[in-house]
Amino acid sequence: MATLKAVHYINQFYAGLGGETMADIGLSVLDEKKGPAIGLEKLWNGEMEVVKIIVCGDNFINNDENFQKASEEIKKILEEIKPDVFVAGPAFNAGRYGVACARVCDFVRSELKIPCVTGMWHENPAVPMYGKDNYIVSTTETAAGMSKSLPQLAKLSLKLAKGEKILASRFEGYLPTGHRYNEYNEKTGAQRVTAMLLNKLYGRPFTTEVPLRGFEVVTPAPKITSMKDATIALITTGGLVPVGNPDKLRQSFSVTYGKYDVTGKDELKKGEYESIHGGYDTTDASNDPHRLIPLDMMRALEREGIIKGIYKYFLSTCGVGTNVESSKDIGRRMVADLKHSEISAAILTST
Amino acid sequence: MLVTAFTSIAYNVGANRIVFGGDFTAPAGDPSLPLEREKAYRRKILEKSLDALTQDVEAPFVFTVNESKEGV
Repeated sequence: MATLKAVHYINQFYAGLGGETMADIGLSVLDEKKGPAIGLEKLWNGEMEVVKIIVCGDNFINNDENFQKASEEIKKILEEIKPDVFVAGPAFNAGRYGVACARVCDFVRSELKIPCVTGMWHENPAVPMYGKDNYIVSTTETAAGMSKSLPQLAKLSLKLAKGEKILASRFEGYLPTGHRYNEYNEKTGAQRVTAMLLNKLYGRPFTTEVPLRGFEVVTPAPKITSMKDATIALITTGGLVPVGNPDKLRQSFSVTYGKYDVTGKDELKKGEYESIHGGYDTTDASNDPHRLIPLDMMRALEREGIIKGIYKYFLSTCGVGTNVESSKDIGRRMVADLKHSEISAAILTST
Repeated sequence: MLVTAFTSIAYNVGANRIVFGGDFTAPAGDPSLPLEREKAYRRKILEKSLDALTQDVEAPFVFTVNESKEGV
């Protein structure tokens, strides 16, 4: 007799109720083992059993109103059973099922304080939605990889049920949450980084302790075919503003940008403009503002007919401590501004 | 297009047309140069920037003005 109890969440398909035509079916509870639960129990090797299976149709549970009602029912069921762990899926790359699994886990974990784990393909849309605070084991893309994917789910769910310490994602096989934990190491940071560097220089494998986040790929803008017909905007993230910072732009953690008219100006004089950027020594920039907004030499190129014109405003913000979302938002608003004014391209200087 | 001395960051965050600027805190200049030579250098940065804008790129690419810093 197993001592540990798991409750398993699956959709209509894995419960054998039917496919897409049954996706609107409401919550039901099964006592007999169905679908992945059979495989999981085998892997738990008698240490844990699935005591109940909760089933919801994928369409049903993805409706907010239904979710509210279903979550109340799930709460009642789990309060009665008091499982050691709650397991959902795996959902592979199924979008609705993935979101259902992750959302139910998120609810059970945060509201009922029961350890939860689900599994899915790393590109499942539920991962960016719920992956930060929930254990989502990495699985294959389709259910064809069920037998390959279950061992990780079984292993982590058993550890969670036993209340064992959960190690970093790379050891446990769940998708990185982005959480960082302090841990004790016998070697100092200097020793570890030197060893890492030597491995890198010798072409040996090494693992970083501080993985960088990935950035999305940006499609390059098409090239300009006739520069002499182009009007160019000048932008800086170096924080150049008229002296006194009339728009009260933030010196860091920017959420907006300033727009300053240079009509009729051939240069930006020291003492009329200054950098208010909070992240670098602004002496050189304030001593000669062209180091951020190169208006002087752009005017020369304009006079010579190499370009048609310069946008009548320069745009400025402070790029320091600005998160990606704010940066994208500022960028989108700048682009809307420039497109509205029929600007062909922009030269952005960044400190 | 982007003018910066932090080309590695620009490259890694996915800026597509990057011109190496003169200085970290003065991307469109070089405070170590006398004024007129700095202006000439700034012009070269801008010419390279315009050049970058007229070229097809498929992924992040760093254009360099001149490794030895023109005008020095």
